[in-house]
Amino acid sequence: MHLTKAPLDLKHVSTITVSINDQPYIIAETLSIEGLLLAQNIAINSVAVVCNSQVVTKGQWKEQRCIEGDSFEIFAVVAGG
Amino acid sequence: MNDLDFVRYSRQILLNEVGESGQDSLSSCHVIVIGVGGLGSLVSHQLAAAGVGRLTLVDHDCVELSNLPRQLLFNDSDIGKSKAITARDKLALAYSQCKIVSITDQFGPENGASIVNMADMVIDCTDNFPSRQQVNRFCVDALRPLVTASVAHFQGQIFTVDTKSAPESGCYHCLFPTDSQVSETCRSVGVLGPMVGVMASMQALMAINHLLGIGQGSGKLMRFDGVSFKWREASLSRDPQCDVCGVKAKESGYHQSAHEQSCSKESIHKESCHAPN
Repeated sequence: MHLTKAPLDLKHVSTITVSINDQPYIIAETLSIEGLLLAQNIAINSVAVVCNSQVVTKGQWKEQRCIEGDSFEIFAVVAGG
Repeated sequence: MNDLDFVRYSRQILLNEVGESGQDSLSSCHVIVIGVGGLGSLVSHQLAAAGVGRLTLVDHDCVELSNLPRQLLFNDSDIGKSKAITARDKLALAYSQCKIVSITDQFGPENGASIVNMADMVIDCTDNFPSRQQVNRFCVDALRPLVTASVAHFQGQIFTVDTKSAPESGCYHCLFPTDSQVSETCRSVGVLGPMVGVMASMQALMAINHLLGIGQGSGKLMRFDGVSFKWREASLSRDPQCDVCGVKAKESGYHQSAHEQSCSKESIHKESCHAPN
């Protein structure tokens, strides 16, 4: 999973710090999980999301807001056997 | 249990969590292993050796040269032979107390319900995403516990789906909906044999623990990174709108009773049960 720093102009936006796969990120505080993924240029149907050691199912991504200190794990399905 | 079996399984019986009753319990269990490749050949070997009484091995593929570095049950002379039949014959020879059946038809809508309904537990060792979705659907529908593991590159994922005893943890589809893009398979990104071995051993251990009621394996997604050697754990969540285990699935009548969907178990046995050579 390769993430890029959010290309946001955060000068006039309230921000929070979260971690994504152990890396700190400063993001707009109003972001939903879906917004977080889009800001990172991650296709919505390419990953699963864990927030603070709890799986967040895809149906919650629009509603659930990111909050200060959230620890996200974002990863793709592995299907090999 | 006879004296020889008591000696054979003595190191397992020594465990307080197993004991003689647990070992007897394993011997009465029927486990279905779907996919007898990297994970499945190792998991079925572990389960047969541990004293699981009945195994059904499902795989329509044949052994290929590129399988051999990680599918340790097979060798050069097996290339071109059915994986399910070859594994059955070798394991039956080594572990005569385990009754092993092979199914060489592709697992799918035609036979999925009847195969899954035979099982006390299903182990998903398939190598592709559509098959994993199908296995999950049949297990949810039949209320059979499913231990699903996967591996590719240096990444492994494993968790148990148990709609009967842990419905709040959801199912495979809750975590990975059908429209998920899959980029990592062993064929596309490669894999090391020991990486497969790690995940297969975890899968066999999770299966035995679940069969014997040891620990709290259900409800947790575990992911292993073979480069950093880190395990990560997360609590699984059910998607209330899941097409497979959620409200919508029930309202749409997707869930028929296991009996309605089940074909005759005997017909499967007659078609696929060959005496070991």
